[in-house]
Amino acid sequence: MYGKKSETVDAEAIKKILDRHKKKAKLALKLCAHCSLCAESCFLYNTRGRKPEYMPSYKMIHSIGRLYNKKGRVDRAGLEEIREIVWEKCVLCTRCYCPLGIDIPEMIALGRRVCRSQNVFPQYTEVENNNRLNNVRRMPENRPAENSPAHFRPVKAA
Amino acid sequence: MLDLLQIGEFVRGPMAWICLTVFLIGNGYQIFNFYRLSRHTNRIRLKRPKRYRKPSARPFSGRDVLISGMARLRVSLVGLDPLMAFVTVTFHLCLLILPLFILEHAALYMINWKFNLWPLVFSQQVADFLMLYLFGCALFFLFRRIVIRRVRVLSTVHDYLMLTLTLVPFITGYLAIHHVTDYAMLITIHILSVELLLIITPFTKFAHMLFFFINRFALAGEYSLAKGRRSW
Repeated sequence: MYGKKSETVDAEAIKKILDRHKKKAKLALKLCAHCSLCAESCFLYNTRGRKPEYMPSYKMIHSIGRLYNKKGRVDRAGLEEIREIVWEKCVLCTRCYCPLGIDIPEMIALGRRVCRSQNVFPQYTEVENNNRLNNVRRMPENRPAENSPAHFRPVKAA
Repeated sequence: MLDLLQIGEFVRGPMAWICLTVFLIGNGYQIFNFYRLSRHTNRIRLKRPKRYRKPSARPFSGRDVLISGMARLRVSLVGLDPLMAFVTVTFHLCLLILPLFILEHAALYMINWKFNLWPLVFSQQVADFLMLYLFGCALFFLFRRIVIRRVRVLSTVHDYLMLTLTLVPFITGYLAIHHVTDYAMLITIHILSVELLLIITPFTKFAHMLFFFINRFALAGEYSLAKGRRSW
């Protein structure tokens, strides 16, 4: 399904993706006044011991900011660190609020795009995988109609 | 060799106009940039299903508006960090208002443009108080940047430089008003620092001066002060 993960990183491919969104990313990184006022709007920051690594601005600066500063020239370990930020420290709920109007979720999504281009994907433990499968099984379209509450039953075409 | 008087003349004359032009063109470019990078969005109107509507309920009663307004404030910065909200708002208001209504600047408007601002001009005591309050706010920001971990991890040299550059015109102006040292030198530094700020504002982190208003008035969002329709 996915390409093979090589040890080298294709910096040119990363640069191409970054260049496509250069203006917006540059503006976002330039505008960020490092005020940390976005912190409280992140539910992960609030629920995981209020660690600074969960602040939206921190995540943006240390993922897409890092990629831009290095012009896409990051090694595999660097990409793994970015993967941890963009997938494990952010769920892209888009609830983060910046007083200066920076679209932080878009920047995180850009970080994810860069990671995917280099075959770096989220990693799940067995328990997480099972939970995800169970969630899929619980979805209304995947369970028998007779066990579903009336408002969850799929509507049949007339 | 140029003496201080000649430098002062140049700084006060053509240099000021050049800086003001750069400031206006730079801000115009940033507004253009914003409109090019953002897009127009249509307003989403959600309608409550009929069965959830109470016929007797008055949806926009004063009490409802008050409760929803208080709930919004509670989850905004004002509710979460009231001290920071107060200091930030007052600091930025002082930055804008103090230079406009100070007696020394009002005298300049009068001499150069015959524009009388007299009833609105701050007295010396009020101006001094606001100036000291501004320094207090700056100290608060510095303290916050050094002490609070989440701000410290984000801070770079640029942030400290920004704070210093913002304060230089106020410090030199304060010292010049009270004739602490060489007046001519202080005033030249004062004007030069403001001109430097004017030039760099649209192209550095100071651009938040413009984007704060763009965010509040042009971008669609729950904390918008107007019905903005743009989205990134």
